[in-house]
Amino acid sequence: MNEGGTDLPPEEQQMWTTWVRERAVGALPPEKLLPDRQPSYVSSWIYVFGVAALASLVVVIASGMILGLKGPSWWHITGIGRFFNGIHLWAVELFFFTMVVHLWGKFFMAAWRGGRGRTWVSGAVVFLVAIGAAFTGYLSQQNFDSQWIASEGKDGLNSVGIGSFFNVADFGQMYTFHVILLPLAVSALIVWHILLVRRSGVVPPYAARAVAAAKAGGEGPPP
Amino acid sequence: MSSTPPAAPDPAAPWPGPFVRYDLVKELVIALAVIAGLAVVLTILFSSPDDPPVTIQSWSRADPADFVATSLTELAGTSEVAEYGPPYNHTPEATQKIGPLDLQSAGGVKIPIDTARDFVLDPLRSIPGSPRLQREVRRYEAAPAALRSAWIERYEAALEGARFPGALPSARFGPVAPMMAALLADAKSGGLDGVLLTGEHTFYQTNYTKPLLFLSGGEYFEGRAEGQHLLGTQWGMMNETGSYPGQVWLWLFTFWYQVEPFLESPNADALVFVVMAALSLAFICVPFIPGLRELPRHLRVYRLIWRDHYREVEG
Amino acid sequence: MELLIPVFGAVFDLSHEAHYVHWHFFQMSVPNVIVIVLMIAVFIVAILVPFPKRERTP
Repeated sequence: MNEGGTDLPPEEQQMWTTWVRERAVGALPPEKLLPDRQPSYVSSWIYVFGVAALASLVVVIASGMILGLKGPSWWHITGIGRFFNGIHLWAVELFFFTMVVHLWGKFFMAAWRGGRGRTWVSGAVVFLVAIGAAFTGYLSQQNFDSQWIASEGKDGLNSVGIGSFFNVADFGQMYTFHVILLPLAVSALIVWHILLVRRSGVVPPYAARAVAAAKAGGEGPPP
Repeated sequence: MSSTPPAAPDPAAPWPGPFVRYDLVKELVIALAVIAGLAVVLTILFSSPDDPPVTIQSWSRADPADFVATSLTELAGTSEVAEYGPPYNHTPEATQKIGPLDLQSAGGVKIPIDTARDFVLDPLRSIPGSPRLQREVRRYEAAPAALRSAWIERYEAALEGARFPGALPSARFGPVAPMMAALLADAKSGGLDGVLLTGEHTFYQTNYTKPLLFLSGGEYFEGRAEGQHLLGTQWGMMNETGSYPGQVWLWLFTFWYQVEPFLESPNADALVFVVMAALSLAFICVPFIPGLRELPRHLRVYRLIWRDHYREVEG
Repeated sequence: MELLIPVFGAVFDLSHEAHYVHWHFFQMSVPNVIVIVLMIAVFIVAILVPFPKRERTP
């Protein structure tokens, strides 16, 4: 088995497939992609909220798929449909709950240190896109709440000239955004976010007190 | 691999050790079970809200006076939708601006709506078997603008005193009275819901712009929202119908609408949108903002999170 | 208010109007306040409750 691109014959080294594979495996070898160990400082319950948010998203998508199987009017007219709509709603509440607690933890840990800026950026963008996904979900309910949210939401979007491109009163458009486009965007961003975490590892602690004091007296502020 | 943790780890370098076993897949499976279980329990306890929608039919039956009053403003072109500006129509000075920047106009009139034609005249013309009504509609359309306005204003004034807006018979109202009577009857029958959505030549439709804009002009629709604390001035963006938790994450978006200068500003929507866009950008860019990116170090909450680590390296 | 179908399996009927907390211009529904308070409480508990000790790998 080849262990590196340099062991391959020249014509294979030049292949696009080889290039992609070597870069991917180089950045994330299996033991880095799915490690069975973590640094010793990963010992707090705050660390479970990222995976809890991921689990919430899985339940959101699964319940959403069941709602999608039976179409947008199903949950209004059957008890079982109403039940799965409830799962979907509460999973969304849990998703935002766990995501925000995860965000607070990452902020207080300054988790962007050590070249992890993109991890923070991707997570922040996920949060904002998820708000958009939730917005289109509320618009897709086909009840009074969705009517009101559409009539109010149109003013914000129209005021900056994008209300005709993204027409909140167009159920077909909002439903398509909600069921396909935004879940794909959220999922892709989360995959990128998790791969970045695996690549850089969980951010280590700030320097300990004595070291920080020594550095402050000597060479400058701690990292 | 080191067996004691470094006191000042380089965040950009690989951790030199020590490590502990950590089963990520097991953690994910447990998280899935816990979250799914929580969602099921919450659903069994509380279910989910489903306030039935307002229709033109239910509106016209519950509050015919409001329906007719709103229809008159749509016919006169004095309603909020008629004077909205882009994307629905060209109305001078109607747009919201951010300083000199008029993004609302930049969007263009891409969803053209003529409220008199779309909400009143075309639906009336679509009512079958009504030669007398069609003569009144043609009489209205042939009249000069000043006469049309006069008929509407007199009818609006009479409506305010009337107990019920049946066809108040009077020549002072011209064709407006029988037109409004016919529109109200069409609304109560459910015909207006249909014709606003599909017009006369379409079968499939998912775009509810016209019926929704028509509903939004009435006080009945807004009154229903106010009862549920959904108005902008009631922090409504965060709220849900009934006693369910709403979209709590929109707290900052709705906050700006409650305070000056946004509270009284005609440009509130545009200004709040821009403020939130700027804050969202700042949120994304926290790692790159001096001062903000150092805040966690000064707040020292990290000392609690990593207290096991600090206990070990500080002795 | 009229529901199209009876609430399926709900133990508590939340279809009645919510109670609101008022303070100057600030107002928030009690369910929303509960969610926010819970988030803060869960965050504090997550930081303070000790995490099970793990054996170091060789």
